[in-house]
Amino acid sequence: MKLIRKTVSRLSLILSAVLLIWAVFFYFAMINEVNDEIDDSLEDYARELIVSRLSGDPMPIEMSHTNNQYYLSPVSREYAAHTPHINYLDSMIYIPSKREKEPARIMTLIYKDAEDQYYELSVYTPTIEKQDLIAAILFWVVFLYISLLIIIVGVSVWVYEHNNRPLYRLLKWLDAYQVGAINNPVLDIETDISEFRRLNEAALRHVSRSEEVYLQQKEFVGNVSHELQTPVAVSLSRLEALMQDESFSEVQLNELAKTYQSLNYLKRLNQTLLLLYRVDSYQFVERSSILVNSLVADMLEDYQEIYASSGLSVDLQSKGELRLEMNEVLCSVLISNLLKNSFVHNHEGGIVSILITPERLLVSNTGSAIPLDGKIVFDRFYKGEERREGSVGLGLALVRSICEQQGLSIRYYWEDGLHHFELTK
Amino acid sequence: MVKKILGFVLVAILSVTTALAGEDRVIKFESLPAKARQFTQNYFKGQSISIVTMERDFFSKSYEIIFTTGDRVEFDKSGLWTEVECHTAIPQGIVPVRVRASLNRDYPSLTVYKIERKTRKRFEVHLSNGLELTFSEAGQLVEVD
Repeated sequence: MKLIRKTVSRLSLILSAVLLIWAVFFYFAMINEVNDEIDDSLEDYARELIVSRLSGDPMPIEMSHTNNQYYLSPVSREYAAHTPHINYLDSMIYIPSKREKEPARIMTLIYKDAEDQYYELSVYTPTIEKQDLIAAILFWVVFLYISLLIIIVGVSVWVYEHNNRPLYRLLKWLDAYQVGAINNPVLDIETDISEFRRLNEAALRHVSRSEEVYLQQKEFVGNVSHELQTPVAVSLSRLEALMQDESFSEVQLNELAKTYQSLNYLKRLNQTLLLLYRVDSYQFVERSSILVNSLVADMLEDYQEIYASSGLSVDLQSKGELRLEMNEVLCSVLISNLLKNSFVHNHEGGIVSILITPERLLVSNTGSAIPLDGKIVFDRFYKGEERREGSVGLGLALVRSICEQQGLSIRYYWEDGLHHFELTK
Repeated sequence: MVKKILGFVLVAILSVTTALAGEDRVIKFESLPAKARQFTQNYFKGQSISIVTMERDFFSKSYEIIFTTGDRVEFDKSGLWTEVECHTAIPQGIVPVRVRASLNRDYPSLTVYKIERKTRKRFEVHLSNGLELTFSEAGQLVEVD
């Protein structure tokens, strides 16, 4: 769940509850106020009537055409003693002027005059308007409740998105960043929020630290390979000289030959590692336009000769010229590794099939009967099920490094019992 | 749980709002604050009472006495008079001394039939010719209506 959705859903849940309570309270308070106003006007009217009556001023006629009307009648002392002296009532009442019954608010008051005579005064006012008013209040409360909720949630979404923009940009930048790549985007997020600034600084710090470690590690491998070259070469030549000595027995010479082979393997491994290091540290910069077709044809001839004993059937198909803009040395390393891979990891009487189109080079070969893992086939020191004599396990890693550097793409797939390596511009 | 809380809130709201309803109640003269009873004794001695009511408002209470002569007095919660209205003329002692002095000086022939206590220590007097005058406690005329 995205943070914003979580925030908004929580916010709207709490707000809708709080606002609902507020709205209900407000509604009842308003209703109360309306009733109160009506009662107040009735009370004022009743007081006016009583004062007028007591002081002998003329009374208004009972059935006036104004909203407020009254009835006044003398009552007995017993009645007065057993009836509440003030009473409010909602009831239907007949309005003579309209000739129909209407809802009304009635207030009944008992008072006595100077002669101790009790009177009952009923004043009433129609409440049709009150019903309309309450309906209007209800409508507006509901309307305002909904619109307030929508506005608050909308505003908070906007504010949230606006505030967190630097965070999302930082996340995007982190996703795009690759340690060791040359064209990483620059982190340029302008923000005056100190937390986001610190986050940006922390991200930059960690990225540059990783970059440093990565560089050191690369250099270390390069240096080790470089330093190993001389002792390995010296050992090889010493061994060669030793093998010239005729005093060794057959068994001893055999052992020496095996040691020589192992050392040779070490030398090649070292050379490949060094090459990989040089590729990764951009030591091949010159570029030229290379026609892949002729390069493949030349190399294929050599490999056919070298691996003539395996009885492979080789097939080269050219459907147009494939030209690559890249470093010449790297290009030949790339192509030779791809071709060699298809010859080495093959079986007796297998197939090597090469297809060249203006956009791609496809090298297919038979080999192990099961597909390789496309995710790790290009990793360093990845070797399939069976180990081949003389295979270092760095050839395809080198292929990938070169492709990444020169902006080419390489992929592996398994189809119709063949391993396919597809190089695309 | 949520239903319980909502129900509780509703009940609370209803009880609060009904408690605030400003309906009048008829009370006995004896239930008035002592100050109000004393005022009545001083200025309306011997008059019989027609009705005594109490109005409870949001924060305050107020009382009203109507005498059988049609005269009436309103009191605040402490029993201090806030309004006196008489059919003829209000008892002289009710009008503050300095206000009475100003009235005697400027309107010697008119009587006061109604006086109201306003905010900021002001008094509004209604004269028998229909004039409504507002005085400060010091007897200064502030407003003529």
